[in-house]
Amino acid sequence: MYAINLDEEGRILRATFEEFKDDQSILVETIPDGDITEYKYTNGSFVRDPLPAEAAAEEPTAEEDALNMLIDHEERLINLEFGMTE
Amino acid sequence: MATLDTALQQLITAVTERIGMKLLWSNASPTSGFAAQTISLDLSGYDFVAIQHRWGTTVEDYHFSIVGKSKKTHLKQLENASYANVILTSRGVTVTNTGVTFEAGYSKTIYSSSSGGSQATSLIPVAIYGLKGVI
Repeated sequence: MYAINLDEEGRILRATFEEFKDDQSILVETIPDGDITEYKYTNGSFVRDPLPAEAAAEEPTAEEDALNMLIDHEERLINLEFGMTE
Repeated sequence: MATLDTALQQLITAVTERIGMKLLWSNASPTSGFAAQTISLDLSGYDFVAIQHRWGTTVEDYHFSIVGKSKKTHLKQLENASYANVILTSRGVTVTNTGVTFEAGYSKTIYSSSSGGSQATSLIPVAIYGLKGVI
């Protein structure tokens, strides 16, 4: 048996084994395959309700990377000129 | 011999009651996302917890972190050392006598100048052990 815990909307937060259940756990015989957090548990059944996919972090372009490196180098040069480096 | 055996048993019991490691919680679906949440556990009899975790839902790389009570820390793992884009996953955690609170997981590509992003699939708790005695 598995012990599942739900959030306020009935979405599965986590699953553990019966021996590790807590006061809020619900015992079930099986858990869904794949990512269990894509499911809600209502009226004794699992209902697939995936959250919108998280937007992938935007990767900087090569130009942005080069500009950031240039800015970093310029800052270091300025600090050297002002004698502010250790 | 019986006396010696009894004495040995008592010694073993005394030692294990004072120094021990016990599995308190296990993730039955470690390839699933893990949102910020608190796992209620009676940790009053333990000095530390050992949290077994993995880098993320897609990589089977397991580590242990020992965490003291009432001191927030961050579980961290690095992956992809053989690639240009080393990725750090991190998750804040606080341990008290009543349980373990996990914050949201985060993922950061080291070479990127962009900030890391919150991802439930990052830094997945796999098991929690209670530790007591001398470490």
